[in-house]
Amino acid sequence: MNCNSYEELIALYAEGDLDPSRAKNVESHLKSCASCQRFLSKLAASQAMVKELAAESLDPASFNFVRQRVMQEVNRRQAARPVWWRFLSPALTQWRPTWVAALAVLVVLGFLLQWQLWRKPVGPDKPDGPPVVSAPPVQEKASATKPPEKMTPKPEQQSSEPGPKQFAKRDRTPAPQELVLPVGVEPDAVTEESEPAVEQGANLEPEPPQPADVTPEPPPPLVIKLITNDPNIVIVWLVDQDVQHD
Amino acid sequence: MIEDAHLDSGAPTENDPTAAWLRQAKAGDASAFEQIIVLHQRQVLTTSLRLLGDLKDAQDAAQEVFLRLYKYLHRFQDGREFPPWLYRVTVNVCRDVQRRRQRTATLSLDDLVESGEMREPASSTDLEAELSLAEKRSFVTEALKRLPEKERAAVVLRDIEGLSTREVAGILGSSEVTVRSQVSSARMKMKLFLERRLKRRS
Repeated sequence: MNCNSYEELIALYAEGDLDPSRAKNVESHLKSCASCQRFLSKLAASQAMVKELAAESLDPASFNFVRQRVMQEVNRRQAARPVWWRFLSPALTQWRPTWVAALAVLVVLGFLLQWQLWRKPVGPDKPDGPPVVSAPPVQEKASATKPPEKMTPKPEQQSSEPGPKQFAKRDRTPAPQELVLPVGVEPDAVTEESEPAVEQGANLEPEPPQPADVTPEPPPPLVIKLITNDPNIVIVWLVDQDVQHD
Repeated sequence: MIEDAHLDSGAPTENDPTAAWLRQAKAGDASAFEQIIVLHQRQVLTTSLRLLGDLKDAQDAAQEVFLRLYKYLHRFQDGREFPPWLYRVTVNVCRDVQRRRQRTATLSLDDLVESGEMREPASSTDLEAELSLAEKRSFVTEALKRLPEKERAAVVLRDIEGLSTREVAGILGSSEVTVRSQVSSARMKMKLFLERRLKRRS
């Protein structure tokens, strides 16, 4: 290690910037090197001049000049801001983590809501709950010889009623148009009917003609046919008309 | 820049009056911001003056430092120590000012030695003898202006502002080894420059 290398270390040693082991190394070299001793002495004098600069204090007017210019600009910028920002900015800046968390919660809630809307069927003809799987879907058929308006639901529901596939899902409420349809429309149902089958066509007429020899006192029973997916199984339900009227 | 001015300084400064003023200034209190300026204007203006060597330039730089501080005040995290953060902004602003103006050309130590200006004086001269205080400060200011940018920043923070090597490394975003190397080089160059000036004067 020559003296030039030691000078770099001496420049640090002069201000106590060396660790103890290096400082000891420099000190041992200084004891035996007059040139490096002179270098250290001159460097110390130079550093003393530098420290003189650190002690210099500026004129207070120099500070005031800067502060006034800065505050003029700050006040100008604040005046240029809209009024709502002056009230909102403290909350936005101080509660930034809170706002970010609230925004994240809103995004998650919005996503869940959208997912639920997408998942839930909108139409009125789809069941809300899970489909009944214990029994096969049953189609209900109803035919009446007497006033169809008794069984006829609202017209708008009839017009909006979908096809037979959707109707097959209904296991509770019979489809309205199926109740007013004459049994004759459904060929299978007509063949299964016994005594009222002949008179089923009269339901198509608004005012069915009554034969002269038929007495009006005993009204024919209301026949409700439940047609399952199996064409061989038909459930016939006979309902007394008097009971319904009462 | 300001965005990444997270120094490894320490602990929350509950006893620091600046912390309370900072909270109020963040909430839009202009008078609180002015109090921050009052508390730290010496640090900003004198450091700018050492780095730039001219009072008018230093005042422009100090103004820019405080306006940047105002603009990015909301990014300063509570609990951080404020002075190192402000030093870093000051160094960055002065570097920008220096590059814009390009008033002074820096010389390397080799250039100075090769030009003959940095030869050792023939006789051992007492540098401080018969020098007025104003002359000394003028010579040091001139010597600082001759230093390369990074060495000047390192030696100003270490020797004039009196910060530790670790603090300087944190402010400049470099290692302590690098800072020691820059400081050592700067001290040797300033020694040679001051000796030359003294010789010329005598």
